[in-house]
Amino acid sequence: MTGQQPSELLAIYLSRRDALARFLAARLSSKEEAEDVLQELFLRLSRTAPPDDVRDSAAYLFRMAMNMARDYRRERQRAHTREADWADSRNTLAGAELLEDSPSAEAAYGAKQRLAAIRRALDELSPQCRRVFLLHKFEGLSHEEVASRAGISRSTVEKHMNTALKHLIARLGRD
Amino acid sequence: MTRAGTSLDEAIAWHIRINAPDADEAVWTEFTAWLEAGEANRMAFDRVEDFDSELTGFGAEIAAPIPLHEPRNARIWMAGAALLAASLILFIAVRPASTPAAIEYSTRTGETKLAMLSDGTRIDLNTATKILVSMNGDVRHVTLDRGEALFHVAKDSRRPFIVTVGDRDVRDIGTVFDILRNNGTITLFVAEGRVAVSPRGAHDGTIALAAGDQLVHAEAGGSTLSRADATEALAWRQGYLIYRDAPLSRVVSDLNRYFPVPITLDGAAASQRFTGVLRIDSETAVLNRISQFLPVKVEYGPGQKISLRAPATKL
Repeated sequence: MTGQQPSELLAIYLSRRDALARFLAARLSSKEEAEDVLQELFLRLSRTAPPDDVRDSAAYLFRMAMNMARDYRRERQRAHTREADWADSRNTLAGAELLEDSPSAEAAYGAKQRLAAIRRALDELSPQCRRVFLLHKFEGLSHEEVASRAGISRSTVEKHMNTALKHLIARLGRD
Repeated sequence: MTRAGTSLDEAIAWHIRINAPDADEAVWTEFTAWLEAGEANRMAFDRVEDFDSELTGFGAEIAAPIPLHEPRNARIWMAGAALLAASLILFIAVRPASTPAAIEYSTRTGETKLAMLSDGTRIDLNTATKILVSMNGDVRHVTLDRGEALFHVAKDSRRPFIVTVGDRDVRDIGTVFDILRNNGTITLFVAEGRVAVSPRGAHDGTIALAAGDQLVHAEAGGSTLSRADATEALAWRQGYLIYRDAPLSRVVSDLNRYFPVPITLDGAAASQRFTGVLRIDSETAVLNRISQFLPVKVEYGPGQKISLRAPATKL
């Protein structure tokens, strides 16, 4: 399907609204938040035209919904962190007015360590597995494109993706 | 394997399946049912998604080759060879057929972020900042589009590090410096090492800066060189701003980078000068502190506006 008009996509949105709501409620574990995201999805659909290469319009809507739920979740986490930071800064303010330990230097060190750990975990993968994972994740190649680039089947690409993620999350994932 | 382990394996498989381009509506319906089957599934998927986002956040830096530590004498030899190579490149002016796309890093108002480059360079981004990084074969190039950034540049004598900001190029070899671009003014402070500043794309009119030097340059205008204190110039990284007899207009212009609600100065308030340490926490708190130090009143106007006003003169 090519050259979708926003109005066609809106019609598909309306016919799938219940299924999308059910998906979002399961994803976010909250009916209210699911409604917020659905509303935002509707606004976005009415404002912007979809890309030309949408193969399956309904699947496209689910993917948009999932990405928006991810952003929503991240925003929720950030809000929590900000509140905690605010409480911290108030505590510091009550104490000495010294320019002491830099929290950002600590964070910088943490990020550097984390990057090094991720690279180490990647190096533990087989060379083909590592290459497949990097091509897909960081060079934006689809499973098919990675398959033809590496001269392997699509199912092997997916197997490598699975092995890589399992290994990385086992070594580095946060609970 | 525990139930949680099974969920995680399944979550990984789902993550791959729904991100395949041929995932159709039926796949999403099945995925919904899997999520509904239990909180453990949803939480396992959160974990996979969070990790995936974290990887995305690190970007291409993850895939970049890790620099090898070369023996010192080999390094010197290579530096010599690179110098020769660099001069050749300058004269022949060959550009690589495809320059890798620049990577953008940016922060929103009130946000700070760290960008780690593949050569080991660290860039701390202050509030409301946007930079573009392109690391190609023979030059490391950053454009500071707006805002403020502190650069910890990794030494690499073979690849110069150049920051383009407004109408200026800042060039260095292994040093620490801070650049702020705000309202048509560039402020450059060197904390360690040396840098050279020249008009953008030119090699004449170069000014050399050493540690402790601060250059204030009005875009399309003149430059002033002075000395500054590192703790004060880099205080933003600790969440402070430090001023010595600074015009209040400069303080307000800084604060407007950190906070979303714009502050304006009314009349005589603009001529006030401020000395002190400001902790950048909340806009209201900062303004309250200023009004304790200076004879100014904070007025919260309608429609998200704040003004600092000097009280009517009494004689």
